[in-house]
Amino acid sequence: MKMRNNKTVYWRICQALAMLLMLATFSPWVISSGTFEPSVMGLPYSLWIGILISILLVLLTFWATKIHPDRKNTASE
Amino acid sequence: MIQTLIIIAIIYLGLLILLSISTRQKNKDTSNYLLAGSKVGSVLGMFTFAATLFSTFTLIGMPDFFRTHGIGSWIFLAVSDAAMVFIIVWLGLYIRKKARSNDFQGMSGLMRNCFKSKFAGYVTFFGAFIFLIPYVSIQIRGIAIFLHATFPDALPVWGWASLMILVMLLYSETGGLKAIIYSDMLQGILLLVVICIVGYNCLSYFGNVPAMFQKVKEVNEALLSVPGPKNLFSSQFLIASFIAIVMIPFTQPQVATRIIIMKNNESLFRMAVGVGFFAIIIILPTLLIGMYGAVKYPALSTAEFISKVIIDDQSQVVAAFAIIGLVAAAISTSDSQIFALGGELRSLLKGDDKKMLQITRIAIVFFALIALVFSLISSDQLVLLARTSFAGTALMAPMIFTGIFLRRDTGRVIPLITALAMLIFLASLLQLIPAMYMGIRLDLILFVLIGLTSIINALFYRNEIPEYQVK
Repeated sequence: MKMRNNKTVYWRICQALAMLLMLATFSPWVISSGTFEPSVMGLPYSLWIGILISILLVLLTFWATKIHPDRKNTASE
Repeated sequence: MIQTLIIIAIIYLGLLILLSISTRQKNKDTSNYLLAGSKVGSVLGMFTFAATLFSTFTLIGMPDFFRTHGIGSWIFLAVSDAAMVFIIVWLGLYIRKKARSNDFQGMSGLMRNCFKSKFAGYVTFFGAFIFLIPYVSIQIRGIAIFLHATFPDALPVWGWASLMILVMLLYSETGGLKAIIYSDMLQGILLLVVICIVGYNCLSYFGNVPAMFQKVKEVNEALLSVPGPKNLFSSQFLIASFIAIVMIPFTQPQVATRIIIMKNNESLFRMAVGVGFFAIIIILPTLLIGMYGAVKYPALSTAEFISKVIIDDQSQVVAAFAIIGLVAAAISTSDSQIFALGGELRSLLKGDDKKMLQITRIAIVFFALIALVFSLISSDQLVLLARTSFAGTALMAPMIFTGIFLRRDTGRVIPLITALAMLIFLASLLQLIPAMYMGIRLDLILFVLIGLTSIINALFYRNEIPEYQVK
């Protein structure tokens, strides 16, 4: 029971982080008009930060699959 | 190169025939034929989902989008796709639960059951039909034009288009969704390998990543930031596209079906993560190909650019595989969409399963023929037309989520509002009414309005007279 509660808390944190990342994508910090710098390994600003957000979202998805409260719930299947 | 191409084409067609024969079932019923028995594992699920999602739009459209509009294309597609896989894990289970408890055969039938209204089913079918047919058509057209440009003496554009439709119909009619899923796996692997090799070769031209962007900066600096040289990637465009793409797993029936037919929750989760990585791996090379095109072929048309980059600038073997990869990408997405339309129709039909399935199979041929005709008259703007398809079906999202999440009857307001919004959106596409109001895109306005109406309706609508009393 306690483990399931922990999973629910982690799942909520994971959801919040994903929402924050999605919202941040459309903020001026990411889609900054006409901005090239700072670049990382030659990648222009909006590109490397876009790549970083994509990777973080997929890693969050991976984490979500490990902590989802209904991961092994097969009652409905 | 022709000889190599013919050998690879024969091997590819042979594998397709083998797959369709091996998945052919003697006892065809809806569950087996249209839903592949609903026991798809994670690896197969990942490839069929990815092959359905990443089509010609990815292989031709995205390099061209990077070449023309710059690095904002990454946020347009890759970030949206990464968010989409999270949403699959978040909301995928709900749609699966609802589907299982409603004997799922298609989204139209599911909506009819959820809203207890045939009209809701018709609206879902109309939305799928009206926005998927153009999407199928532009893919067929894109590849047919490309093949005609590459081999001008072989076949006319309509000949290539007809040939692709014929191949697609042959194996999907024979083996049903199972054949499509297995061929998707073959096509997904082919697409991934080809695009990675072409992308690597494009990067090799520059030597390394910083040198590539330095060269692009010298040619057209605006490509390296948003909103891009043609000001396409405004915040509004990116937000509206994000919503449209993130909603795809729930609003496009060919994708929703792939969530529902997964074996169990864990398979679905593994599939979602796999698709996320697949998206990043497949979009990265399109960035490299696009930047290469921006430097070497900035003024060519889409077909000429793709022809140069994947045929003229590659070795014979890679070029031959790339051509087959392109055809495979178009076929793998189109067959899923046409087949899903058949599934949507089946879910609205009631009667003897065998007879209804026969009608569905005839309808699939009919839908394919409509797509063929439309492919001969549609525009060449691959990515933007695909985006229109995503935006059109996204208008159904509030209705679909209301149907999935609410147990009680919410009346017919939401299906009605959705139908009205789709008609208004269509009117704007036909340029009968403006596409912008007070500086805001119409698709965004409509989405927000339907969303708000759905929330208000869900909160305040109370069906005071239970349905059994009305009857």
